[in-house]
Amino acid sequence: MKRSLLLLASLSLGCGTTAVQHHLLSAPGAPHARPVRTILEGDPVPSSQPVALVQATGRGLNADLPHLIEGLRAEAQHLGCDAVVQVRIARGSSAATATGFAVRWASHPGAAVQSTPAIGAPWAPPPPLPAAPEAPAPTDAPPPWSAH
Amino acid sequence: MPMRALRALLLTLLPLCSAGCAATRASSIPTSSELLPYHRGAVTVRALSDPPGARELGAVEASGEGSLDAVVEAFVEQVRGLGGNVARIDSVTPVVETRMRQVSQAMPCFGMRFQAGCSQSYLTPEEVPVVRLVGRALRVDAP
Repeated sequence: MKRSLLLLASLSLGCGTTAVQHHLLSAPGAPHARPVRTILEGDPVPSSQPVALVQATGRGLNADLPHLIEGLRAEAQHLGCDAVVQVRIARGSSAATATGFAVRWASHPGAAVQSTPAIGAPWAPPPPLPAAPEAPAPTDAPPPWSAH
Repeated sequence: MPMRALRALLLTLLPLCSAGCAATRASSIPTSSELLPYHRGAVTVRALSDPPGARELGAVEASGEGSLDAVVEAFVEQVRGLGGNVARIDSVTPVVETRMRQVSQAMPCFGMRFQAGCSQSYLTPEEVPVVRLVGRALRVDAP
């Protein structure tokens, strides 16, 4: 019984792989261990220099978001980048893949940009948005488009 | 069927089959009235922003599985065909496609007088990660 449980555990541990690859668009920087920010498709991207197109593919137990994002981040760190932007994810039942652009911020150092918390870190609320501009007070005058 | 005709048929079908089964595909369409010859020089691959002074020549797409380099190379080849010297990638879309794969499996032969190797073939679904690039062919003249 113990032996079969051990075998099952070892099989389940070995049933997930994550593969990453990249295509260079410009010269990479030196590898580092700084945090790398992840920006999903559609979110605004600060001024940056694209370094590589990166892809992470997870299979089996690694076909999930944490492994894909961690794969993209590790590849960006290896290329000396500050962030992975325009990240898109596709998921099947046994495989998942994510793509993005590994970039360096146009204005170094990237300390001005708040890095995304690492996976597993406690969640913190985002900073408050700036206040909206004051709307003009309503008047009794007719709207301009009603005048002929 | 004469041997010569069979050979001709095989030679015709082989490139068609290999094109249909290729892991990387790409296509393009001109969007400008400016028709340029095939560009044999260097092509710069760009993302996130256009180079200053670039003229758009056409729309380009490429997709494939496996190597990212092969997909980008197919994209660049289409840009060259439109006469562009800048391959602008507008979007990268990952897709997980499900395809049927034929699997052959050895099995014991029952009811046969002689022990011979038996095998069975069946189709099994397989998920394949595919990357799609969509962008434009641009031309930037040297200053």
